[in-house]
Amino acid sequence: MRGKRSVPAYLSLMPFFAAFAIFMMLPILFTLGIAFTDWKGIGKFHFVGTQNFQYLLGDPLFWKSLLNTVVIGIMATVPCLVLATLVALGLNSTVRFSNTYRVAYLIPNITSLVAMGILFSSIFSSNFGIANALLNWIGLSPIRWMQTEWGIKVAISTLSCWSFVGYNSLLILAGLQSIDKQVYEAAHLDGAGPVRTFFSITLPLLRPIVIFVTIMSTIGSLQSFTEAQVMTSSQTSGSANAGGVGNSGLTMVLYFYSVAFQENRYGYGATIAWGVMIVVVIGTIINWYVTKERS
Amino acid sequence: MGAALSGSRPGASHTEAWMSMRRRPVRKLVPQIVKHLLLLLGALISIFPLYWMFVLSTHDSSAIYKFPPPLVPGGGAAANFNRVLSTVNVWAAMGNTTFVAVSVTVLVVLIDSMAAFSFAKYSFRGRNLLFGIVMATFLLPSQLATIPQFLMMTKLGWVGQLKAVIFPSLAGAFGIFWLRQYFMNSVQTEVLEASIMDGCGFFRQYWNVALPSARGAVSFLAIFTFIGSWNDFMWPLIVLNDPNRLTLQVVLSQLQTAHGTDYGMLMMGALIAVLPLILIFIAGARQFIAGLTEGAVR
Amino acid sequence: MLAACSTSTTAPTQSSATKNLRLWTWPDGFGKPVLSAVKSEFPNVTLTQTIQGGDFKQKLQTTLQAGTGLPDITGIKGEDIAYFKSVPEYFVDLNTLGASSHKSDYFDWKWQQGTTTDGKQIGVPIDIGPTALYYRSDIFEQCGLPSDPEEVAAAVRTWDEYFSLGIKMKKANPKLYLVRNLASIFEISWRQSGKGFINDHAVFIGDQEHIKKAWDLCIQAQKDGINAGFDSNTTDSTAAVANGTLPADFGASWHLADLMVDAPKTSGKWRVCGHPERSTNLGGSFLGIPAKASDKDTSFKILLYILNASNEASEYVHSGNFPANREATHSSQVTGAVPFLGNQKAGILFAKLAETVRPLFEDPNENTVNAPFYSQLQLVESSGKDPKKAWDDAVSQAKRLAKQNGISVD
Repeated sequence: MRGKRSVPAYLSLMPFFAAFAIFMMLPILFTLGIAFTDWKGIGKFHFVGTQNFQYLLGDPLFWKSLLNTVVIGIMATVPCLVLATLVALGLNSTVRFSNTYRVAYLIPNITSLVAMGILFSSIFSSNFGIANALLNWIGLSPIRWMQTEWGIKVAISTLSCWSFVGYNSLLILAGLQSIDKQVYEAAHLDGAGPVRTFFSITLPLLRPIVIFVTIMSTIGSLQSFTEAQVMTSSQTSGSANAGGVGNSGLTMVLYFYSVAFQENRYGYGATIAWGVMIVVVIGTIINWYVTKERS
Repeated sequence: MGAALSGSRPGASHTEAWMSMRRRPVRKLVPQIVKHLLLLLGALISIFPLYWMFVLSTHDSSAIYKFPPPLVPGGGAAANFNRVLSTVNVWAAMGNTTFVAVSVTVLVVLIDSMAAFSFAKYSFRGRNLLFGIVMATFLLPSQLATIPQFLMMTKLGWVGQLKAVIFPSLAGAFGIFWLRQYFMNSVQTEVLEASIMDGCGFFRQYWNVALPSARGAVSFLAIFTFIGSWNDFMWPLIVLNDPNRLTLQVVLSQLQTAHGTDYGMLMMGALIAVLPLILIFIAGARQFIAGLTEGAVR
Repeated sequence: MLAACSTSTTAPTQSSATKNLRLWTWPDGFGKPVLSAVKSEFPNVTLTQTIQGGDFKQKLQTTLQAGTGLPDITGIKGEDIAYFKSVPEYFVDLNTLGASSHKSDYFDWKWQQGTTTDGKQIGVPIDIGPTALYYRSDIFEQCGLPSDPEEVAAAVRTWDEYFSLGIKMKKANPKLYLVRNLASIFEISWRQSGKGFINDHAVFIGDQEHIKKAWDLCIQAQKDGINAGFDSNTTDSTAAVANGTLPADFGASWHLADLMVDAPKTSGKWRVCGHPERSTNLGGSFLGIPAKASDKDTSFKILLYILNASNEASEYVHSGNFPANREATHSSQVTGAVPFLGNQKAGILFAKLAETVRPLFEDPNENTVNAPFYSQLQLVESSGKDPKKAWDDAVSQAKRLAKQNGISVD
């Protein structure tokens, strides 16, 4: 459908692109431009060339935040997808109360993160938390969760996983329900067991939705911010102290937030924004490449 | 027991089929119960934060630090409720939030579905480039745009007004990404061709053919846009400053003081803010769950 | 609105129409007694207090940058005053309105905190936060330690004495700690030196003797085993305060409000006294006037009125913010008995401590540059990092940050 009919198509795109250009594109370009200044959030701009970029390349905290983002992302996404698939399989074969279950599983997605943050801090507290009570119950010694590198990462990824299992399971459920029943009947006639059926039939047919959910989760985890922010509090407003003990919960966007909004180092904050953007683009290219390779 | 069995049988979905347990009802019963128990456990874990929020909103502030923490409602609900009402103007804020969330939802659904329809069913010069740009922004965290966005609002003279919250929300790309996927799969080109034969122009195809067939996907988008707008926090906090034009999340932030935060009041505030959302959510559940199912990537 | 109308009709002699002025604060803001006092003192002015939630500094900064929608009078938090002093052009120099003649009404070091290096006055102080030692007298007594405020203060004149008291307590009951976390010592001890991490010539001095001394105190507390190592604002730390595991806690005057919320059941058992060496200041905020305010003179009159002795004294009752106005500290509202502290007259103590606080130069980059020290202390207490290595890491990180922010590093 080409030719004169492309005029209405352009018209239909206009409202979105107008909003997009004014409220997204320009601001982001502006932010990227600030990276070449030492702007403090107020007052005049001083051009400083590529000084901020040189600092970024040698900034151990930026590389640490990148590593944290990837590690926390994997720790949150992988269990989340596995759990979501299990929940989806369970819901797919359940008729009774299925809508009630679905609503229940989506509740964490709409509950205020402030409340969730307070709850999770309590769960992972050293002396009074449920997490340590569970460890105690299975005979392990308690962990000072929020005071160890891995404890902090586990706590943040648990919160993140908790909020997204339901959402992802519904997406996967949607994929499951679009699979033709006859395929299963054929497999059953061939004498395939449930496990084999899952791995040789269900999973391959679920590929598109799994890829979709994976891409969404990857993007989400590269941008993760709020979970880390509500779980870690710092004694001072300095970014070098952000993200909990040893900066273990410092994600890239939290680092950006702390540098720009708490320390007023907008120039350098914008440089971190460049870093985030480049990482996300590389991440997406890898994602795209891997997906394309297999299909 | 028998009821449970016969109750689940008519539904006989494919999973049951491949589990090949139809002929062995007793052996089927155990996994069914285990499955339901697991699902129930998961559901309870999911609901717990909300429940705990409710429990804390009925206790006084120090309850949060008790060990073991309180798990049943206390008697402080009325006191906390009154303190919230006397500290901040919740009802006005709820009105503002409703206005913002409804406006954003209606506009996002209209704008995104229109753009998504074009991307899905029309080919025009620059389509891939434009869609690439949309996707690229989808990849960027919105925090990056915050400060320039504020300066822009200043230039427009919108600071403090609700439209400063509404319009930037229209620049999000999720709706386009989601609906394009849906339109590509579910609106059949033949149907469109037929409607063109009937003399339908672009907008009538969009309005009469595409939108009706996407009801589920659209309602999914609508509900999640509504929730996102309702819970939006960082940007409204920065851009709104007129005491008569604040949203709920901004008003709630005023309950959080630097020293000696009153958690009972805070949780009551959070509960008041989330309750309407949950009601809408439950009311709309059937619609958008259907939306998810239909909108699946095929 | 109604009040405003009736005022203009009953007072026709005052020809000027009613003015609407806006005051920005953060939660909880100024109390009703102060606001209604303003109303009756300035019948021609309608002052609206707007409470801004969230990050107040960010809100003020963006609005100042925007230049529109500004308040006529604004609060400025103590931790942000150094930042706003770096852009004095956005505020009225209150000296041009005659602020200097009120200087002696307020604690000198607090007034100076609102003065730029070239003598502009950005804000008039609302409150101060002189630091002290809060402790549980009942638990001190059980452990055979001094429990009367004067005796405790006399027993802990130096940090060494405080640490040996901690060791003694540990012997009496090994479950108890005398220090919340290393940061709680550090934030007081480096301020006691009267110097920070950057001097007034924008030179990094965080690697010098005065910081090292403060650092070594923290390491000593860790070695002595009297540090609980609880992060502030966590369930663990609050619970420790409530259940007596942490029977002593350093804090500013406003920390009393935290204790009252965190441990309501321990009311009457706490006391307060001077902590080792001299008191320091934590927090305490200001009122200022944006440069674009419409009626600067009236705004300044109201500002001074809000911050007069009787209003600052009434604010102490309302919010626990200790007055920066010296006269207010003698008010009966401030010097009264505090039931939570066993009817101790805490106000008298805070006023006495406030006299000993030293002025401290604060660079706007102070918090950026000192953060690595806090961060490394946390690693020492949580994962047992070698203190020497931690110090070296803190210094080199701080130097990098200083350089990047235009601070000279030797």
